[in-house]
Amino acid sequence: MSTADEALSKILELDGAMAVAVVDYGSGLALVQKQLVMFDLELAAAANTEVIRAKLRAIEQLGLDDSIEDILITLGNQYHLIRLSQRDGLRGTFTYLVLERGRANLALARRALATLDETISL
Amino acid sequence: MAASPSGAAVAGPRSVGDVLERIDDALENVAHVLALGPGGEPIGSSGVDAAPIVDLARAIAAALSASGPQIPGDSARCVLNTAESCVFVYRLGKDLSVILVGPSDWNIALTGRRTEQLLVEFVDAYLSEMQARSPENIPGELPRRDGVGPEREPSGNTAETRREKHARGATPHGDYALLTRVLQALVDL
Repeated sequence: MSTADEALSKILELDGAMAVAVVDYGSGLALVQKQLVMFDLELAAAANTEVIRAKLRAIEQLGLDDSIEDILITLGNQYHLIRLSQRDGLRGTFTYLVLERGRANLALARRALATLDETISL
Repeated sequence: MAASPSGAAVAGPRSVGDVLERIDDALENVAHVLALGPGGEPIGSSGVDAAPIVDLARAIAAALSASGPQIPGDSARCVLNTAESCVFVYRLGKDLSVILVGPSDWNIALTGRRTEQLLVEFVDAYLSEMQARSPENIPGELPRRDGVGPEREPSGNTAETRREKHARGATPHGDYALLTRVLQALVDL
């Protein structure tokens, strides 16, 4: 296990990583966060909480009986990668990662978020 | 029910009631928006039936006041989450409180941001109304929370009526009664 600071710092070592946060999607509040560039990460966390809630409602309405592993949002210059925690102790949280599109490796980023989910200690 | 400031005098471009309506419009699933003045009297509200929550709002505001020096500064925000409701109480200086009631899974971060942008306007409107009622009485400045962003127009679905929003955000009155008892017990400690 690693501390929150260590775990988030590890994520920010990824090529193109700009910001990362672990967010409670019950309240929209960021539990921990770290960023290399200045932008309103708290607002982004709160807004993406609504994205997750909408997707969870859609899955329920479609009767899919399935769960979300991650969500990728592709912008012109950035990737926003959202991974819902699969760990019992972190149920109801998601990790939100912002990456520079021109530099990021999505496969590595997804694996890194999966590792963070397994190892982070809040 | 439209916002209904109890005072007759309205000065400046926006009244307390107007600002409470704007807060109401800016929030999703809000059940009540209520403002209390000095002494805990309601000075404006926006909700299907605000009466049941006045006591609750007074109790929370009193609890914040009773905390006194334990809360640095003159303003504070209290968020109370129960199984059925989420209650925001903003204590603005010694005079004013703004209370919001919504569902238990309210997005606390977004609700706070959308509301806090408008609280500055609320305080300004309140001070203007006070000044208009007593021109010889120059109002003092109330403290403002740091980090308040620029004003934004509400982005909600305008086709939905306020009544529909309140109906979605409303919670059973029994929960208010429970909250009131719990908070009263805290105040009485």
